[in-house]
Amino acid sequence: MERQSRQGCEFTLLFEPIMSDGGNIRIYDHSRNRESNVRISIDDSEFRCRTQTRFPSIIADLIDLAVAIHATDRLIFQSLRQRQTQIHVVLPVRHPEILNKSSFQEKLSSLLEYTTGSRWEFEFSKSVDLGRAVELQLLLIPTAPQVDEVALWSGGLDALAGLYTRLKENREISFKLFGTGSNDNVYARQEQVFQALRPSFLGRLSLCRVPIRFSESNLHVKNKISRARGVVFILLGAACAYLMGQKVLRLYENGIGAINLPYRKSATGLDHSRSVHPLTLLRVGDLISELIGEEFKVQNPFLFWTKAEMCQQLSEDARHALPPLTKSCDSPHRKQPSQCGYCSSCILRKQALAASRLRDQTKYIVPHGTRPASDIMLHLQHMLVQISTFKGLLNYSEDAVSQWESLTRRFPELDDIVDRTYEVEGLTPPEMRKNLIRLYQTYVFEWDAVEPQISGDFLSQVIDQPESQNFQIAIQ
Amino acid sequence: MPDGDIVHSRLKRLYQKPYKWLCEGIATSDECARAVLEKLKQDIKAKGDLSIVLAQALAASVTQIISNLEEVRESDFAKLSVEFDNLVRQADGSPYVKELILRAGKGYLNDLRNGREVDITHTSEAIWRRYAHEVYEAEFKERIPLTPKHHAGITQEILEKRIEAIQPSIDFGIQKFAQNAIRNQSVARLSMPRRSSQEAIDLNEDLLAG
Repeated sequence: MERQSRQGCEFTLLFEPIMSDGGNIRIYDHSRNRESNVRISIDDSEFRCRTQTRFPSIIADLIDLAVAIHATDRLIFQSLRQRQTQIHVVLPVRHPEILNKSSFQEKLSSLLEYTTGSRWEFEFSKSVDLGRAVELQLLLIPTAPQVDEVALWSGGLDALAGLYTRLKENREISFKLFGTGSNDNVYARQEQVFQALRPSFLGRLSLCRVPIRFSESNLHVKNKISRARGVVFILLGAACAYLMGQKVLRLYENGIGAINLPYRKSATGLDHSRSVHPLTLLRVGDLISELIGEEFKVQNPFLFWTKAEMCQQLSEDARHALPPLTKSCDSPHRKQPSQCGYCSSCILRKQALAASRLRDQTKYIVPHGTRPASDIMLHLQHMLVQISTFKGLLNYSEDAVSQWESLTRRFPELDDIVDRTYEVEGLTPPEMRKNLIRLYQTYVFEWDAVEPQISGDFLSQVIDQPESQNFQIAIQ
Repeated sequence: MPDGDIVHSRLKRLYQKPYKWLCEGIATSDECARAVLEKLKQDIKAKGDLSIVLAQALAASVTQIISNLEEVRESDFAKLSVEFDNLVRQADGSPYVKELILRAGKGYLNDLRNGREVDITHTSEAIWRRYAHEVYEAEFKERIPLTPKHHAGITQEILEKRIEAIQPSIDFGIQKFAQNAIRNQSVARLSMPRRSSQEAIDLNEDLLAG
């Protein structure tokens, strides 16, 4: 095989065609001189329900690409600090003539390096297999009713609050929600939240799920810092949108989380995920457009909203029972309560529910469970430092131009967001800057109002923090 | 936040000594600053010459796109920022060093854009200087644990004041590192600034004179 010529790469993943019953992946770890095999499958049978009678083969390629990225990202440990991981993927597809184009390859590698920090190289070979069952079935008539909007459905609070707001704002339109992943608990939750919401919006909601499953992978250690998750979700969601006759995929994520600025300068690059960052959405949209040969967009209608603002509609309608069905936690536990309450996602969730005056009926380890051994204050302290930074920068002046100058001096990445996305947002650069200033101002105001309540949860569990010298030495 | 954040709250072993000195308050500000600069020098050396190669590549692209700052347009900055992304992406090396130099480059662009930086003749040195500041902040200043009680029982507020007090010396030391790094095209021989507290001995001085 080509192992000799691949010495420069650290990993090579050779995919067999991903058929209905799955496909084999042969993994070569060149630096350790190891080989292993894993099987992966995707159940895309729910794509039978669609408005497009034909299943375009290029969309089947898009799905295979998403599966290959998912598998690679989960199976290969990728260092964010030390040596850059080099990944070579060989994937059989139906249209290698399109996927091997240098413009497509450049966009794909650039997107994945931006989102994972690793260097990805793809080689698309011609698939000789017929394809999965769903793409072979030619429909005589559409098997799903027309929908107006296709959106990602994660089972999280932003997805719920965003959808609820869209449903209330646009009383005539219907939604197809798309979920994926490889975890049964996540599937159960997506279904549960969907079922809880459906009776209030009869005939306007449908759900499509396409699970990805590994098999024979127990011996393979999984990469815990999976930074391509957002890209995989969007690519599969885009396939769903296309099959539903849509050229836009929407996802609902608050602006603070989407932009995900570092709390302190000790955080760099991918310490904070770019999974739904505005520049990621722009890049994925460009990539899909190049693949399908027509313009395709990925939009987040809530880029300028805080999470609390997204929850406002739920609050006004007193839908207190819905948020506890969702999950936000970054480090869910197996035991109950499963949400930790002290990771940044849990803290932002608590902040949003408190600031929007939704009763938080969620059970968290902090404050409802037994205090864990780890430092529960860590993320809260970092988030509060960031709030204090924002305050200092925004209070620098009342004038928007000076505020922007002050904000971007500390966070120059905000300039890139405006420069590269103002057109797709349908705004002028000054308008977009004002919207972002307002977003961070609102976030600061909200924290001012609820900080004692949020910190109170922690103080009730903290007896005495250990002195810093006990936990400050770390060798990386 | 989406997919979990990695939070760094512990100082590396390398920076323990200057941290303890700052907490103990026995050494002078100058001595503490020197202790930090010594460790920063080691850290920068360990991170290698990629930062210099990239600072020069970024500087070259600035010169190529901006010949006269008075005629520069907003779109030029946007174009340069994309160019910076591409140059850094194409380089081989640690994603961490690449990220720090990119942050330095973007900071430099922001300064140019807002008129805080007006000199484009020493761009590589200016970008590399910012890189060294990024290393200092990422590895030391903003990595000090957020805890109400530090080593020797001092508070966060006192520690912050002491860190603020060493800032001019750190700036001066980094300035010197930047000159060395660009002149030698290497981080291998960064020299420490002279001790400000030590005056040269005047051999002709009359020690008995009143």
